[in-house]
Amino acid sequence: MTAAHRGLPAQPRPPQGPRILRRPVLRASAVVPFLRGRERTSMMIGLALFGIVLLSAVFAPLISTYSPTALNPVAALQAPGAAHFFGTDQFGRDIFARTVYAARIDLIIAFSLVSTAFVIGTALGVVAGWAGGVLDSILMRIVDVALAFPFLVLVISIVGLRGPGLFSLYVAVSVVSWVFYARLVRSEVRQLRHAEYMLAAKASDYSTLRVLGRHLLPNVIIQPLVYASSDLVYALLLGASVSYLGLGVQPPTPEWGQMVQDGSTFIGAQWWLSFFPGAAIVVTAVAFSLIGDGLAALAREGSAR
Amino acid sequence: MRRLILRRAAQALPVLLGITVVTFSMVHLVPGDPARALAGQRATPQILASIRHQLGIDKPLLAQYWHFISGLPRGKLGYSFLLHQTTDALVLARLPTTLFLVSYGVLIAIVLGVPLALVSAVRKESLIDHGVKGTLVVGLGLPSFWIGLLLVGFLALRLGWFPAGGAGSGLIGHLWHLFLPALTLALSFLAVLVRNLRASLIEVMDTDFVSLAVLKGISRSRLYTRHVLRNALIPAVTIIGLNLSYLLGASVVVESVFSVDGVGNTLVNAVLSRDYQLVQGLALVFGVLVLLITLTVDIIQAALSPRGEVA
Repeated sequence: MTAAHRGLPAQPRPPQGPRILRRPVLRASAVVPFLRGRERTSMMIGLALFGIVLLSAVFAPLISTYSPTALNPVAALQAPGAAHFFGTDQFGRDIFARTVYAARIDLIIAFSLVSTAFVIGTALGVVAGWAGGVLDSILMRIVDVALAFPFLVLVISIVGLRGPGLFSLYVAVSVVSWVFYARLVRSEVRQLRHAEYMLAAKASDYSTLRVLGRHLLPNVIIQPLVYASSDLVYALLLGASVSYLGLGVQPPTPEWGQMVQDGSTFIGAQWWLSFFPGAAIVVTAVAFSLIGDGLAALAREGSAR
Repeated sequence: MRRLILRRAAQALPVLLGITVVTFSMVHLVPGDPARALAGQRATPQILASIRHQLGIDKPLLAQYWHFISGLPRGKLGYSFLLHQTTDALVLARLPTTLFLVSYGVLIAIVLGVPLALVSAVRKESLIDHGVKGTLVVGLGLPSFWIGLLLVGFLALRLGWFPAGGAGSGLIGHLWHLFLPALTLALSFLAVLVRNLRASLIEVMDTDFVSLAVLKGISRSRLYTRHVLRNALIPAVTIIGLNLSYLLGASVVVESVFSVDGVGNTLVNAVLSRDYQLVQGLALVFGVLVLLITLTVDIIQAALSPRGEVA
């Protein structure tokens, strides 16, 4: 009901720019209304857990007095206790120190895998969705073929053919994982192509780069960002799995998956060798999941208003 | 129906071609000379030449590709120089174990997941629901190699309830030996299954025919089994179908943890021992398998859909 319907004199409309030039989403006001209730609580828990993991990665030398790689055969295979919180492995290395130091490499792997896929996939998705035609068809066929393999199988095969190691892991994952982002961004772009504000931007005779970068990208970036935050969980588990199989991070660098593998022969009696690094993966993954869920809720709220 | 199947098969053809191109080029990703990698640094030129000939890499690229794909319809997938067996023989011997493991895992996931999703959906926003959701967040972050190893350490080695590895023989032996691997696989998939199933159950419960059934005064148990669960079945099948590719990938790690002699464990060993042709052949098998599964799920979905043949 407008004012006129209720028999009141019509108010002058507030000055407003032409509707077609308004761009939605990714404005501070769309994101600021913070989460409430349970969603807020779980986001807070996620951020707190992530904070703990991040701080222990950064301040590893301060948190643990032991070296993660120093051998000490006298203290081999000691159970968790006051001297060694998480016990020691077969070489007498302190599991707590190794778990804390490993947070560094595991966080770096997870974030670099996701950010590479995010950047490449988003760029190619924008190009495919915007250009359409042959370029789009070719890119989407590549996506189809990449999705035809179980992700892990393709990654393991490529890592294996290049030879095990961290760099091979990066190459293998980068070759494959961008397709998820490209598909997502492409469909967003195709929906937004004909939005009024996009036509307005094109009609203003801006350069293609400016149209894509300033007008299109801010509006399609939310979905891949939300996806990336939950993708961190998979990237973390992927890096650890590949290293567990002996194809990723090589010893003596401590890494969680590889530590679980190291302890696997002792799992019957000296459970702590594999238990603690694995638990560290779970804690980090839960943190990523909770933060990702929170961001997804924020994005939903942002697009709802 | 037949037209639908033909159309879907025609759409799958370019993907199939792409799979062969990707797996074919895999061997060419190997840095340096694959023949030298196989034969070692001290191999004579004659040996290198004969290995190159055996691998077929002494011919032009297109001829090599033709040789590669022309053998495929006859089931020729290459040769494992380390296991001294053809890849097709290995696949025939070991693929059934992997398929059994994956189906077993899906079954366990359904047995565990359906009641969880049902309770969670019926008691929406209750303490139980929040409990289930919290568990699922943890479940989503469980590395399968870790949970598998803990199951081995506790249930197999400490308590002796289950064998610690191998696949057993006969149906009972399979079910018995593969229980822990299948459980591990199920746990890695449970979170995704329950999350999706819960959402579709809630959707079904909001429909008019469920309200009508309630108004007619039918019993609770009949309402949930006959009306709600039945209609949530199609989305459940879809979720499982969409995730079979993921489950096949996860089975690689699980087979390696429990040293089950399936194609996944064979792939890991082939990669570790740089058996390039075997890696290539197995990757191809995995790709074709996923393609066939996707095709089947598509067709089943179309068949189940009440609207009939929607493209």
